[in-house]
Amino acid sequence: MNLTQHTYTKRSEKINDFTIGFVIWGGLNLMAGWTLASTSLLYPDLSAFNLNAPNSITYLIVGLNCLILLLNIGALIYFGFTRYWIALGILAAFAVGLLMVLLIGLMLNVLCYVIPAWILGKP
Amino acid sequence: MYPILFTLNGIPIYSHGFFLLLGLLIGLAMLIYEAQRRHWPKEEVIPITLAAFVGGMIGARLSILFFNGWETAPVVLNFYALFDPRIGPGSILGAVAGAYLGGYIASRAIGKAGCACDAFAPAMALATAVGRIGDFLAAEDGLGKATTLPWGVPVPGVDYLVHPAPLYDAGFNLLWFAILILLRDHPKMQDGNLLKFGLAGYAVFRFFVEFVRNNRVMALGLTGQQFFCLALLIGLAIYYGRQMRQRTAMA
Repeated sequence: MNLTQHTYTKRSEKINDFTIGFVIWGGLNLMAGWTLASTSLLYPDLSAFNLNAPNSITYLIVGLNCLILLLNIGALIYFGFTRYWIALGILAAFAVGLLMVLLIGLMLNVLCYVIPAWILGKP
Repeated sequence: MYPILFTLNGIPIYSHGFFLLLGLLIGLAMLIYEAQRRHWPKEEVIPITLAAFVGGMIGARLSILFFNGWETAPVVLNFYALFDPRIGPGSILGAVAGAYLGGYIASRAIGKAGCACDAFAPAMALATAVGRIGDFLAAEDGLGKATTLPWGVPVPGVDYLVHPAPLYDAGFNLLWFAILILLRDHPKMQDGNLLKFGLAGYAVFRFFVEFVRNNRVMALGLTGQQFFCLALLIGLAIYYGRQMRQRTAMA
């Protein structure tokens, strides 16, 4: 695949591309995230993972999550090498979202991945 | 332990989140200072730093799949769970790898010649040192394995003392930060070498500190984090071996 960087000649072109990345891509992700979260609330069975006995729904949801992750990373890289300002807009949208998460995280006790020793009940 | 650091108008401020954010802010301030000192233009600093930040957050989360296994897949592979403040950011080792990859891709995308990534090395060490204080106060991952050493600390729920592993990490990173600051202008520590040196030093330390942490053993008595550190050190050894061969061939 031949990736050629677009040459920006006007400032307005840069602003347009940045807006596409920040607002449109960020907005699409917001909608998709909201839809998935609502679906899992309305249909708890769809988000009930049982990885000890995975079924087709488990694979479908994990697959869908993987696809969204790959799409986002892929778009970032693709636009980074073709239309730089769109990529910068997407990056900025993600960074703003992550910073908000860190700010909210000040007021929440986070769940970590390692089971603490006292839960295991052994040294 | 102090999982809640203080309350602000009745709202609890948690140690983990507080020191994580503080660490990132101090790291960012250090990076900006270093970038200015190195006359690194903002047209390069901004996209590379943004990409390193986002890459770091994604890498921290994805690496959990390798370190903690398939059970974490529903959370780790869910892109939107990355924006769930109730879930911990993940592993610092994954964050480092993701940040490096993100920064590298961004620098190639903007067509940057050479590497200015050395500005990241002291900032990363300082940010980690600060962040680890929060891990200690929150008793994250049960801190460490049981110990009878005089500096062992109690954690809630157990009747034995444990290694304060996050404080070992904080102490090492503070020392490592000072060493990186002393070495930052050395001619041999330019063009990415300071960052690689910084990463190698942390990998060596982390390999050994893992023996007193509670992470999941993967194989041969070693944790995933230790395998990651070994892979990183082997990768760096191969890189420098090739560099030396090229230099010898040119001489």
